[in-house]
Amino acid sequence: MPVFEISNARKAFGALEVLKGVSLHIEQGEVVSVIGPSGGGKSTLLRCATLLETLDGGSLAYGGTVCAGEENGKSLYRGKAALREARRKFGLVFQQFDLFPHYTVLKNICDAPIAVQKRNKAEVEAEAMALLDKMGLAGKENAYPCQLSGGQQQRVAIARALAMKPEILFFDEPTSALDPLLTGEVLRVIRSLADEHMTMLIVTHEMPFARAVSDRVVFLDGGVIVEQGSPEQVFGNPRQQRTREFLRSYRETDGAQKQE
Amino acid sequence: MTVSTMLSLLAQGFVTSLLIFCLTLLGSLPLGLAVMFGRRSRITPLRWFVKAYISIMRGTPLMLQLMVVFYGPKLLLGVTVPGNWRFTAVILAFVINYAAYFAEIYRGGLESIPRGQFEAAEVLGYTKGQTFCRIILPQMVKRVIPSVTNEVITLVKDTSLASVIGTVEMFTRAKQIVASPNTPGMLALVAAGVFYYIFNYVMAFLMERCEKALNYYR
Repeated sequence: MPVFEISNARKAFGALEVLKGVSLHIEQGEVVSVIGPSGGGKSTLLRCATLLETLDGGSLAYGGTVCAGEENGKSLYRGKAALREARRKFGLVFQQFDLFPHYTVLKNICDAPIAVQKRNKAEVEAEAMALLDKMGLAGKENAYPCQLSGGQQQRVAIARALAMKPEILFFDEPTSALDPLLTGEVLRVIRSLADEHMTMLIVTHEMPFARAVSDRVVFLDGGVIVEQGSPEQVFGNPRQQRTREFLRSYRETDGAQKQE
Repeated sequence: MTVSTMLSLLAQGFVTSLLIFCLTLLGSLPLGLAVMFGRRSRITPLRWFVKAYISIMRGTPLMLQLMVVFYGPKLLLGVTVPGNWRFTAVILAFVINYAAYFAEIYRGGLESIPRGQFEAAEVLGYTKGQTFCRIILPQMVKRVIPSVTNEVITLVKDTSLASVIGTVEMFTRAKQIVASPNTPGMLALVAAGVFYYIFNYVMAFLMERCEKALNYYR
């Protein structure tokens, strides 16, 4: 059974159709990158998957927990209990980190496991310290987010999501808000999670990273999945014209930036 | 009348002013939160009612509101009010007036908090109540302190309005001294001004301390 499954997802904002029937499932241990131009529906797909937006049509499930089923072409969401159950199974790392500024690093990581999952405080804190160590942030537990660099904040955000022990972790352009110099440290952390076979769905503009880290790459444009496959196939030998155009324009702008 | 008699009369009045000030804050700071929730409620009639209430409280003079609350029961209903109604009416009028202002200040604070904070809390599974109490409220308090300080300072001076319905607070005392023969009238006015000023100075100082205490994060 897939860890995450979304079928025939449709979503419109007013007259603007952003998702036009997207189906995607992710198996245990799989790392999937979603690439594509801005406005192609990547963020909306992620926001629908994480219950921050509701689907107009299509179904959504986490393992055996169904969040929304499709009836007569419309998404029908289950009750609060099912959605709460589903929220336990996924974590989300935001583009803008969205740490809680009034909490220390340690409290940012521990508060939800303690207050939401009602777990033992000492145990959660010990795990949080281990996570911080893994993120290369040992000794930062008493700092406040405003005292950290963007890259450090994003690593705390990853630790905060991991402390909930999710079955799948979503990333929404995790390095887009960072200086180029700071993206590396965040990508390294995500790569180490991939090495441990953490199930992840990563929306990203970092093509070399997506190529290196993913088991599968999905190219989303115009609200549909245009192409998906192994990184070698999608990047090395794209079948679709739109994929080729996107990758070419990406290489041109990226190359131009590097020459500057 | 000696200067010391005058000062002791003013000081007695000041105690009443201080009481009005404290009771008003004690009532209106929490009531403002409830009003803010009403103002943001999904229940349309409640939201409209609260909007109308805020609009009236902010759109009419507090002095007039004091008179309406104090004389209203007698003029409208013909009931005889108990002897201590005067002071109760003052507190009631001040609390409902200031709660309206605080509600709007709180609302501004709440709405200035980035949406990401709500979304991060939602994804982590916090309930609505937990999100408000643990994540939103502390950040809201920090954001509204400068505006609340403004209101607190205004309130210190507004307590003098209670004299319009005959509450014997410091301003009423000062007026009485000025109106009586053989008193240091001018000095009484200046002294009352000094009382208000020092009180406000202390309040501004305390509020600044609160602001600084929350400066450990941005």
